[in-house]
Amino acid sequence: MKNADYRLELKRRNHLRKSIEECRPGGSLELIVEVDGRKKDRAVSVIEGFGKIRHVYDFIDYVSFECDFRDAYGIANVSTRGYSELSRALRRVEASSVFHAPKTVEGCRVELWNLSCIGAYEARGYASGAGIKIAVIDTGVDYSHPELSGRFGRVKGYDFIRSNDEPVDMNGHGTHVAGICAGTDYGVAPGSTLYSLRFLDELGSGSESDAIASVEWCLENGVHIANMSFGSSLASSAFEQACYVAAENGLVLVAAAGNDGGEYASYPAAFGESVIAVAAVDRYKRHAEFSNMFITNDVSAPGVGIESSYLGGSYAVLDGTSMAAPHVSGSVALAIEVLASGSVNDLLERTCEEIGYDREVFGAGLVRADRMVAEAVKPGFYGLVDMIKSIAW
Amino acid sequence: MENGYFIRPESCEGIVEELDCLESLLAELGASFVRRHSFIGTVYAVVDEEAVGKLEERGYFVEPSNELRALYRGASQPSQ
Repeated sequence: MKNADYRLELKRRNHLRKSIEECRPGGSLELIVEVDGRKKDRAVSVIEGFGKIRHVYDFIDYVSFECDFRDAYGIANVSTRGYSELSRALRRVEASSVFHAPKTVEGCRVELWNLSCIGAYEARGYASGAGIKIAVIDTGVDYSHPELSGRFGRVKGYDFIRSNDEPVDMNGHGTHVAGICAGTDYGVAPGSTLYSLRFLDELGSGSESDAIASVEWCLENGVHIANMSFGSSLASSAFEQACYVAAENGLVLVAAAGNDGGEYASYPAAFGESVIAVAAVDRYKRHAEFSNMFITNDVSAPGVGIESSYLGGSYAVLDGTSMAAPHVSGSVALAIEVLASGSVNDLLERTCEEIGYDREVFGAGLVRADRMVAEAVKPGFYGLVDMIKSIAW
Repeated sequence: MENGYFIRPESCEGIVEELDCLESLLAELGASFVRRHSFIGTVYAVVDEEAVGKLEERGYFVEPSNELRALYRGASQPSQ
């Protein structure tokens, strides 16, 4: 055994010993055991005599199970009398580790670059999106996720595929998008109320008719912002008309610019003034190579390597203009909460950070939640800053 | 072959009676699914090509419904 392998093995044994020692008498412990792949069924039936099977993995020769303190001790020392049958079934015994999202010493999660980049942390000092309703028109949302459970009220939204009011996510995309909009730690506007309108299926595709029905649901339920992280190179005039009517009635529609990487239109983002089209940039505020360049692009937001909530209480890192759009939806929610007067669309573009001159690539620039909130509270603030800058120049 | 289409009266968009009339016609033409989008004066229906021809003959504006897709890339990296 190489030194490195030996050290790892030693670490595993110490972890197992420590886990057993820390387990209170009467408590239970989850163990992961390596079994002989050719005799997996036999091993499973032996293990069942000692604890409750959690997972029998198909792709590796391991089984995880939960057992009580006393059996965990015996299994860890399989030579102990009474465990001989088990010792023949098992190759290696390890304690299952518990993983946590990283935390800082203050008890908050580490600062996320994408939220820092748009000034979300500063903005959240003045607004949280309280009282603002955001609809995530998508693959559904895992609304039991710890990041999101506090954002949903009694009405969760609607599932237009299954025609019921339990719009649960079975893809992961919608949960990720919702986390960026309003997740407790991973979101821009953690005080806002979320609704899940599911019209994209498990594979991430859906019909225009269901998308239109989702927009209609927003109008009927007083939603302020609709996040649309989806698109198509084709669109009907019916969907365009739906977005136009919705915008005329005060619904802020935010859409992903598309991931074709060229000078292509993706609808609904390319519908024009009724929809805020969001292009993607990376952590260095550079154009994301996949992000569409089109005349209708309004603003840019982080869309490369974005971490957010995912299925089953987990977290995942995804790329796409899908991830850029919810940064804008969340920022708009913060601004609407404190907006004294005027149009949020104007405010959004006026307060952008200039990151490039090509409008088709970046729109007006990078969305800045902090500037939006400051300008919404005190109109003219950023105009004054610009004026001082120009005099200094 | 049946597909989804958006159908609206060319003349009087959004008039309830017009849409009632359209829905009755769609039932006659054997539409397998019908949904009214009142706020844009349009009806979505799943019909065959023959029915599309008849609707157009009667002066209705008919356009196909498109598929929309989630816009994300790359494999996810669940980190629990």
